[in-house]
Amino acid sequence: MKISIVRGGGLAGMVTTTSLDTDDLTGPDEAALRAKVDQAAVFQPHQRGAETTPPQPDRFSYELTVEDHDRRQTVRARDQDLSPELHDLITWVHNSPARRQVVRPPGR
Amino acid sequence: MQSTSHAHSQGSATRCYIAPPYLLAQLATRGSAEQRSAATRTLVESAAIRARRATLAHVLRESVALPGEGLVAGEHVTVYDAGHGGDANLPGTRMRGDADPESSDDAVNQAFDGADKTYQFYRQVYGRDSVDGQGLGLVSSVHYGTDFDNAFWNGSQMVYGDGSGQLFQVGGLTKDIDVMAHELTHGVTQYTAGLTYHTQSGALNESISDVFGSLVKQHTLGQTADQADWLIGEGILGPALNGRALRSMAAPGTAFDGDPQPADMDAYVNLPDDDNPSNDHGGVHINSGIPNHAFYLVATSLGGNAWERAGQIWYDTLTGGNLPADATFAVGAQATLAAAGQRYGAGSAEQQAVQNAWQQVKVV
Repeated sequence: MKISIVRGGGLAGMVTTTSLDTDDLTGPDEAALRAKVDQAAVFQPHQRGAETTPPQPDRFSYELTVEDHDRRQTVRARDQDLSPELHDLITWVHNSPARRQVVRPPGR
Repeated sequence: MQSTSHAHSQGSATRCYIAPPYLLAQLATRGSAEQRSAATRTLVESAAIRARRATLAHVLRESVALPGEGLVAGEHVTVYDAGHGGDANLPGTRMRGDADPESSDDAVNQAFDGADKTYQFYRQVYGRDSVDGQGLGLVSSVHYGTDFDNAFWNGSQMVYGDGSGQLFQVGGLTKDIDVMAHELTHGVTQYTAGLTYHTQSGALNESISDVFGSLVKQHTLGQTADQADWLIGEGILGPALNGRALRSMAAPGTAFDGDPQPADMDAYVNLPDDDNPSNDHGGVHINSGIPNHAFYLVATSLGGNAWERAGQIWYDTLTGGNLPADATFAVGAQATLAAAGQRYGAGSAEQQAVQNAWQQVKVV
């Protein structure tokens, strides 16, 4: 399973892309990640409830893409609109020692 | 958490009460005898608390602790520890208010000083009583999230992460007065021009926060326009960004390696205004470099303390009621010209400096 999270906005306005491949995780960590993807209902859009509030200044917004075998799903959400489960998944990926991260200006 | 009698409006949004006044009013007039009695008592007591708070806040400016509330009546700055929680946990545990001594937590003290200095700046320089002009208590929460590389104004309060050490140094987000004043100024804009956060009006919104962020720093350090470094977020970047600061108003595009900011309209970055996080709502943090540079040019052209004339013109523009929420750069420029003419006279040196600045950045 591959996860990629594009994070934009924020005080710096830069775009941070964080990616993770379960090939790089231990067994328990992979299981934890898969559980979080399930809890966040990434592949069940109808379960996810899609409230979008207006942009708040200097807040992050996210685009999360998960690829798993033949499934691929993209979710976009503002920081303040994240479900607790999506928030938890994003935090876990950002804090994983196995993550790769690239920072670039907006637009590219 | 929320007091039944604590309410304020934030732009167009209103706080929710536990028992809304209309419900209490209905019960007070149409309920059973017991309901009428209880509702009337609640309404009267709530009104008394509000009246007492308003009286103390505006007349005495003294602290009276009301039971069950973290915000002390009349307090203008309060800092909380968000305990690494998220939005649902805000504001968190009360750590320091006006009458309290310094905390053992550096972030708490820095956030306190940042809000206090910003409050004092707006009050002393422009006669403005807090972000709403009516003494709104400034609430800040530190230690939000885990290694969170951001700070923001959420419509009601300031929120600071700790920084991850990547984008921002750990502890960096409460270290720079201009960053804290930038965020608080989003509150001022919310209560005044309400510049919508996308494309050019969003870039103006961002620029207003950088302008007054920089002015609060200059005022705190006692610097003239020539002495100021005109940098936003100086010295707090982590290794993910190789550079001295987040943004430069004096030389947009030079703050860090790969700084994308333009200095004039020839280099305006046209990004789609969509929900793709890569597009920054149409580049609000990028194109803010253009109005930032215009302000820098006005301030350095006029010389002296930048908050006195350049800042006054910009403050008049923001709060004068003639800057629409969807203002483009061109509309914003005209508004600053009108404000300069009104304050200093048509054809004045001040108005000429404003005209020259917007011409130099190719907005007019």
